[in-house]
Amino acid sequence: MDDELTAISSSNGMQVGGAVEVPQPPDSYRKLFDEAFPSYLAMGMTYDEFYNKDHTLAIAYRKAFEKKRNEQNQNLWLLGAYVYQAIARVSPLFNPFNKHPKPESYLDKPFPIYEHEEGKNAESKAVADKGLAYMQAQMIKFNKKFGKE
Amino acid sequence: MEKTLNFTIDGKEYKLTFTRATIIATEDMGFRFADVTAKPMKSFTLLWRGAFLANHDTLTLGEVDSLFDKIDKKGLLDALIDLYKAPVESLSDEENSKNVVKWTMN
Repeated sequence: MDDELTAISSSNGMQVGGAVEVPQPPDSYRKLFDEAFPSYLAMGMTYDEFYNKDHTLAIAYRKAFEKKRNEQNQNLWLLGAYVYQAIARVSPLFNPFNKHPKPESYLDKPFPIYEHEEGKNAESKAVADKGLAYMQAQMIKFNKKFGKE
Repeated sequence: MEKTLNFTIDGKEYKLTFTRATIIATEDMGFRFADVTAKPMKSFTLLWRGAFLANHDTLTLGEVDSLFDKIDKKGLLDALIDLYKAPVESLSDEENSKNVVKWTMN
């Protein structure tokens, strides 16, 4: 009887009525730990931390690794955005029908990463716009004075 | 924070827990999680002994067994099983386990 049950049940599940598989605990967790360990080693966890220290460290390592991967992904996306900008700015050079291509210079500043940087940029743009409006008003005044309107 | 089972006997504090290494050591002593329902008493004893390995590995088997005789055993097996499962469960994705549908039986 025991043999029959053993034959039916697998290491990961048990066939009930030939249709539903009920998950069963494995005979040994050693294999599971040994299989999982290299992944945690890649995340920076040491042997001692994985096997002997607080088991919740594994959760922290996983979350930290996820954050690191997101940051890497963000950096790669940013790199792509800079490359895109660079290509877009020199693209006139690649136009064979344009005899006097004028490529734009590269971005003056990096993209703002933080919100306060965006605010700072908007502030300086507002100052520049105000200056431009003043200059235009002066020009109109000057032209009127000399009848060139 | 890791799960621990704390108690004091004869003025001495005990803090039982399992690490992955002590789970393996408990298995080496003969404990099998799948045997808990079939062999509850043997499993209970082995779990109890294994739970001392992480923080109280200097105690002798006789001392650990005498502590077992002194402690209130109501709900203790379930608590030890929880301790035992925690290092295993911490390897699975929390987000996935949150989405599992809970069920009840009348």
